[in-house]
This record gives sequence, C-alpha cells and structure tokens, in this order.
Amino acid sequence: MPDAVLSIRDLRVYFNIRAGTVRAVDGVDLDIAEGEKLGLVGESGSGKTTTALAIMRMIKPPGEIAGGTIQLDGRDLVGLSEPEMRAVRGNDVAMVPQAAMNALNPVRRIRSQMIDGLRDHGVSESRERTEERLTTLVAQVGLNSNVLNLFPHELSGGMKQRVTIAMAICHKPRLILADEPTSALDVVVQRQVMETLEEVRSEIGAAVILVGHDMGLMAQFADRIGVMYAGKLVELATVEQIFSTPRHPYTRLLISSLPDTAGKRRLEGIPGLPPSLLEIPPGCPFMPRCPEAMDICGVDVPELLGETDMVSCHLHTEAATV
Amino acid sequence: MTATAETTTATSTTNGAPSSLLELRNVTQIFSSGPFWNREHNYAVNDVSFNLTDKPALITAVAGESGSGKTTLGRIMLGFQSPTLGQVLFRGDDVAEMNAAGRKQYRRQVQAIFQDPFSVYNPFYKVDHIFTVAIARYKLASSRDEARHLIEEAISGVGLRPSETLGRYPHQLSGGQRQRVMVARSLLLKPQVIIADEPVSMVDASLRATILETLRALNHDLGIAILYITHDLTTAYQVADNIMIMYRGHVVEAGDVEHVINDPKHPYTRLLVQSIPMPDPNRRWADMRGANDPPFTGIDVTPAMCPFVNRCPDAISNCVEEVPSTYALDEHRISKCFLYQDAGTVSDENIASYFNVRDASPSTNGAAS
Repeated sequence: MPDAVLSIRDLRVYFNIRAGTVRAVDGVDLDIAEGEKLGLVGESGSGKTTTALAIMRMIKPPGEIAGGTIQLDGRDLVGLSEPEMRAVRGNDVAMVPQAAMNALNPVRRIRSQMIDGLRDHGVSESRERTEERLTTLVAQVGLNSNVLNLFPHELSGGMKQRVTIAMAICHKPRLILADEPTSALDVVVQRQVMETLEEVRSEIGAAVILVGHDMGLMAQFADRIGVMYAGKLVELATVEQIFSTPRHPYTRLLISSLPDTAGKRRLEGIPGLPPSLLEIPPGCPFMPRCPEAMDICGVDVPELLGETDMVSCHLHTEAATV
Repeated sequence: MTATAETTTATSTTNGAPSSLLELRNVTQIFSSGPFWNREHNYAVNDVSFNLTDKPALITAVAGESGSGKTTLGRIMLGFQSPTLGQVLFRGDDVAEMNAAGRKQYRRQVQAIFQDPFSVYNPFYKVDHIFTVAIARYKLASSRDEARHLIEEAISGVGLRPSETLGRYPHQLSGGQRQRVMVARSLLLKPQVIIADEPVSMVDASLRATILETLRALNHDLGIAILYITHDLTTAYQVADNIMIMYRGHVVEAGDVEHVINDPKHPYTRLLVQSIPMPDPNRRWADMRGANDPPFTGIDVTPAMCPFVNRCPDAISNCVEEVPSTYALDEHRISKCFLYQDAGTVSDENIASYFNVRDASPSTNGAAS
C-alpha cells in the first residue's frame, strides 16, 4: 500500500522465558491507510495487544521485538533509539488504554495530568493559551471544562475514558491505538465513548487500530478487520466481507458463536484451546481445532494470500495462487 | 388483569404446579453514606418482589448498567446481604429466621457463579480443593473413591475432561476452563437454584457460547432455576426465558425476553437495546442525536421521581412529581413508566407472575421470531 500510514512487515515479538521462547507475535504483515479504522480481533493470547504494544515500542523484558519492521510514514520505529521513540509516542502514535481508571493518576487533578502530556512534548505556552487548549480538548470529547478541576475518582468510567481519549488526541497523532477501550463500560456508555472516538478521529484524520474481542463493537466501528490466531494474522478483509463471507474456518466459527437477538438458537463455542505459544505445532496453528482440516494442514503453514480479502488457509491456497 | 392473577393462583394450587423456590418479597436495600447530618441514602434495590420457581424451572435474566442494583439483588438472593426492608423466602421459609440446619440447606441449594473465574480460587490449592471442601461440608461421599467419582462426574457434566483438569492449579487452566470448573462445583451440590453474576463477561467470545450452553443444559436437563445477571442483552436473549431490566434499583421493565428485547417499551430499555453493538456491519448504531433531547436533563433526581427522568426523552411533568407505578401492558409484560398508565397497575406485585412459562406456550417464542 503506497499511501500507508503504518506498514508492518514480518513483525516478530518473542518472550524469552526459562521454559523457552514464547512466540507471541510470529510474522505479522499489516498496512494501514490514512484515516483507516482497523479492528484487530482474537482470543486472549492471540497476540493482538502485543502487536499494538510493539507499535508503541512498549514491549517489556523478557519480551523483545525479535524481527521485522514497523514503518510509520516511511520511518522504521524498530530501529529508533529510546529518546527518539519518546518523541514519537504521543506525537505520532497515541494509545487509548483499556482501563482508564488505572491509566490516570488518582492523586492529581485532570488538568495537571493533561498539562504533563503537553509539556513532555515540548509545548510551552502561556497559562491562558494552555487553558484554552485544554478546554477545547475536553470539549472535543464531549466533556465540560470543569472536569479539569476534578480528580479521577470523581469521574464516571465513561468520563475517565473520554479524558484518556482527549489526552491521546492532544498532539493530533497519525495513528491511535485503542486497546479494548470500552470493555469496562456498559453498553450505553460504550456507545457514547465509541462515537466520541470516531468523532475526534475524523476531526484530526488519524488512523485507528481497535484491539478487542467484541465482534459486535468491531462491526459497528471498523472499516477492515484483522483476525489473529496464535500470533499470526489468519484473515484480513473489509468488515462487510468478514461478516458476510468469512473465509477462514476460525473466523467462521468466531462469527457463528456470536449471540444476537434474531431468534433463539443453540450457541456453539469453538471446541478446544489455542495452542501453547511455547511449542507451536508444525503446520497451521488452528489445525487441531479446525473442522475442515486436511492432511496438508499438519505439515505446511499456509501463507496470508489474496488482494483485498486476505486469508491464510489451505482451503484457499489453490484458489489464491491460481 | 385480575384474570391473570386468578389463573396464577389457580395453577399454583393444582398438582405438579410450580412451587416457589426462592422469593423476594418487597425487598429494598438502602446503602447509606456520608456524615450523620448529611446522610445520603442510595436505593440499590427498591421494592422488588419476584420469585424463582421449579416445575418448570426457568432462566431469568437481570440486566442493567453498572450501579443498577442487579448484583445487589443477586447478593440478597444468595444470603450474602440482609435486605434493609422486605423478606427473602427459601421454599416458603424466611431466610432471616432460619435455624442453622435450614441455613445450611439453603446455602447448598442456592449456588453462586461469579464474574471473575480467577479470584474465586485460592492460588495455593489445586482446583480439586473447591470440590473436596464442598463434599466434606455436606458429607456427600463416604469414601475417597466415591468423592473422586462425584468430582469426575461433575467435571464431565460441564464438558471438561477430568484428567486434564484435576490435580492442576488455577493458573494452569484457561479462563474458560476455570469458569466451567466453578459451574461443575455448583453441579456437584445438585442445587435447585444457581445465581450466575456476569459468568461470561471475562471470558473470550469463543468460550462464552460453551459456558452459556452449559448453563442452559443445567436448566433444561436438571431443572435448576437460574438467575442470570448480566449487562449483555444479546446473551440474556439467547439464554433466558424472561428478563427484568433494572435501573437504579427499580425494575423498570420485565417480561418475556423475546418481547422485551425485540419490542422494548420502557424508554430505558429502548436506549439499552439501541446501544447493543450488533455483530452486523449493515445494522450500525442509528444516529440517536437526532432524537429529541431529554426535557429534564440536569435535574436532581430524588427518590420521589421516576429514576430515569433526567435521561428520558419522553419524560412528562408527572415523572418529576412521583414515582410511576408498575403497569401491566399485557399478560407477559410490565413496565414502570407513565407512558403506560392507561394499561392499569399490576394486580400482583410478584413480577414472576407475569413471566412466560416456557413449556406452556412455546408458540410465543416462535411467533415473535
């Protein structure tokens, strides 16, 4: 993709622990266009959060980025020094955390926490100018400027999450990483927060990677969806394609396991468990749980192939290569 | 509506008719905070009456946002909390006045499944511990072998393999497995009632279906009455027969799940249903901002008003003057909203008397879907 904001090639994130090497992210390729909303879904342990953290270069030891490139506007983040990376975080890539209550400092007012974020990135301006800027920021996320005077515990969960969104957009980043930003909120507030995120996103024209496992939320928000399994992308397609014609058996099972309100039916889970990332079996990682597994699946790892609807599954390898 | 009340009383006296397992009678729970000169009273549960019956045992969902009182309701039913006002009756006996033996039976027959499948385990013990403690407490087995057999039976009952589960520590199991082991523990005690408080909200989507299916099987096959507390209306719809929607301690709407979710009447239920993120990109959230603004935004809601008045787009002056009564819209639906005052107030305070009994009228489900 020539106009990609973010271009990830063969990203590998390994955790070296005593028992061996955990391949949390194992060869992910991903392009995100300007202003695009990409959903990254998968079970816990599939590597979706680790991928997001790798983009922020926030993988902590014993984890490390073992290989690959992460290009943001053509600049490889993997090779940057820590001081260079500090300038990128917040300015070019910002994160909306999962648990807003843990992301905010409980003993400081919202105002001083937001000012920290500005100062740290070299914004030095008059007090009036800063105040004006903060008021605009909180107004953008639908909050009244008096929240600036409050402590985090005086805000509701939805308000706190809006504050973290305001903090994320204060430097007009090119890319926002949102890691399950609404998993702690109930449906009405979830909707309001997601609508706020979408509003500010379109205002500043940023791209968003939304990480999560709620397919409903993904259907509401994303343009494209990447499905991760055992550290790999197994399918990457537009949201319409994923929901109408899922091609990977895992995606298909994931979608059929979703409860809806159009008639009662038997709910089917996905049998089995994801493989241990310490010893990934040869062949396709989904094979032990796959209802459509073939002989080749046990020997050969399928590649992610295709133009717009990409899938890594031997059911589609013939079709994609021919 | 007197006709409904009569039929309910009539059926409960006939043979093999539903008997009340666990009943809440005008239960109110007030949490007070603040200094004595400026005490704040928070009604977590506000005058709720309903019961869980057997024959047929149903799955009843309680839904609402955080702070709606749904968890408090569950805790009261479990006996973890004595209500400020009202009574909890287990098979007709007041729980507050039970003797030790009665209480022990009650604790056995009413089992809990909680949200977080990790914090309920003691990490220093193997998962077997939660079974052996229960067996010892209720003297379910006379020998080790018998105990082992019981445990294995319970674990197989929830679709796990005993060899892969027993002898392990909680951290060695996945979240879904841990939650199913908790269900197995409930199963071991063969309870009459299970109170499941957000049992799947911390579990992956792929396992969610399996656990809910297990709960449904416990209800259908073993006749265990289940109270399913959740904020997720889609799973409530799939699993439950009837639903109660709570808002700030009030049950604002209740009835057959098919009707309540696919044709919500109370403005709060409507808001909830509209906010469900449907897993379908062609049914995106409709733009709500076009709708009329709530006329009483910013008003200080007192206990003498409708609790939803400050967020309600349909609020009228009545709503700030008094708390609406509960109106019976039809046989299987009640709503606590002045919009339906023409329907007449409920004849029976017990919400469960408006519930749809699954086997009695299977056509209701089919017709609406």
